[in-house]
Order: sequence, then structure tokens, then C-alpha cells
Amino acid sequence: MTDDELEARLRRLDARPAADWQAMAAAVRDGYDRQVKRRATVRRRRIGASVAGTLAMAAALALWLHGHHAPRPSAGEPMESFHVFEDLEPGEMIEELSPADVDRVAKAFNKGA
Amino acid sequence: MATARKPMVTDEPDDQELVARFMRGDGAAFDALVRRYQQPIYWLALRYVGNDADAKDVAQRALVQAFLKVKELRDGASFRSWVYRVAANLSLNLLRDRKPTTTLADDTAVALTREPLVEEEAQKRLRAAVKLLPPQQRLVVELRIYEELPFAAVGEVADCSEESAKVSFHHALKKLRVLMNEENDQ
Repeated sequence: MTDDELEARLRRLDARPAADWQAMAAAVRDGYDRQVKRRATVRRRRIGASVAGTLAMAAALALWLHGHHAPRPSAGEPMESFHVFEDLEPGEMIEELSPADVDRVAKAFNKGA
Repeated sequence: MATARKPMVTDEPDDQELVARFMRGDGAAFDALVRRYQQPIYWLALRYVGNDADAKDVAQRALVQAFLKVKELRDGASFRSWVYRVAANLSLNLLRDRKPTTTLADDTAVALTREPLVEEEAQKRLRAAVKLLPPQQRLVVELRIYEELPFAAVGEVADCSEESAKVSFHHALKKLRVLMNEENDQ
């Protein structure tokens, strides 16, 4: 059997039955529209989830910052009204003072004396 | 490069134009492409899966998938190759998932017997032999014989070169002869 004969035999196997082409076209249109809507819904949900996640992370970060970096409320006098020499020896305290401060301290000492 | 399907009527737009119009939101272009391809796609699926219901299902799914992913096409003219390929893959997937049926077994049995060939039986053997071809060779035969595509287009659908399509077709014919026991008869 030659190639041509075999090809002719193959062609005779072909069957092309009619179908309801309009119904099939409508089904394709419906299927496509359904898939497009479904994809749009999934996309909206993903975007919504992403926004919600971002907001949640931002809120968590804000809470953390507030808890760790907010100024602590003072119990008594305002912080700027007095000066504290932390861990300084008396001589070091004088070195920390400016000349004007030293004069002021000396005057106060002499008055007291 | 893909060759756009030649429209039957000269003033009918080609695939490339219809795909471009569809991507701009033209519903009429969608309908025109469906009308153009639903029949060959249905017949291709029918030859693979062997029954009307599955063939319709495959044809519809293939067209829907083709339209959903049409933006991935580099060239609208290759829409035909794209939709044929989707349909062939869906058909093969369905056949792979389907349990072997008695019909296929019977056909296979007929193909492997060595009784004298009468015309009708020869055709039965040939039909059974086609089903036994490897998927790639079968696809090439389907597209070349029944869709009458040029080898370049067959290669596009089968995802191989034009030369590979020709070689696959040649091997398919050779294998069909073997399956029909022609070599033993000579």
C-alpha cells in the first residue's frame, strides 16, 4: 500500500457529524463569561486580602513603636525644671558647670555663709 | 511564523484581525472566532475521545481556555495553532484519565488479528491502528489528514519544526502499515 493509498484510507475514516453549533457557541460564550467573572472575583479577593494584610502589619508596627518609643509620663516635677548629675563626683560636677554657673553657685554659697 | 487561517469568504477578517478586535473588547470578533473553529475543534476532539458528549466538552473547554489566554499569544495569527493544541492536549488528558473501554480493547484486538482483510475490516483495523499511534504521531496524522494543514502549521500545533512534523508523519504511516499487518502480508 502506497502512502497515497494509506492517506486515502485514513481520509475515509473521517466522520464529521453535525451538531447544534449555535448551542455550542452559546455554551462557549457562557463558559468564557463565567471564567472571566470568576477570575475577577478571585483577583478582587486577592487584592482585598493584600490590603488587609498590609493594614494589619502597619497597625502592628504602629502599636510596637508606640509601646517602645513613646515618652514616659513623669510622676512629679517636669523633666526640664531640674538638673541631675548622674554618677559624677563633686569635682566632676564643677567641671560640668559653665563659668556663669560657677559664679552663680559661688554667690549663693557666700550668701549662705 | 504562524500563518493565519485563510477565510472562506474574501471579505471575512483573518484570525489576526479578529484576535486584535477581541482583545479590544469586540464581542462580535469573539463570536466570529468561535464560529470559525468550533466545528474543526469538535471533530478533532471527536476523533480522539470517540463520543459526542466528551467531544463537545473538550471543544468548549478548548475554546474558552484559548480565549482566556489569548493575551499570551505573540501573534494573533497563531490563534489556530493555539486552539488546536489546547484541544489536542485536553483530548489526550481525557483519554489518559479514562479507564480503558471495551470498545478500544475490541478495536485493538481486531487490529492485531490476521484474518483476511475485507474493505470494512481494513478500515476498522486502520481506525484501531490510529488509536495505537504515539500521541505526537497521532496528532500529526490528525492535523495533516483531516484538517489538511500544511506541515509548517502542523509543526506549530505539535510544537515541533516543520521537518520534525514531516518525519513524524512518515513514521506514523510506517507504523500504521505495521499495525495493519501489511508487512506480513507482502
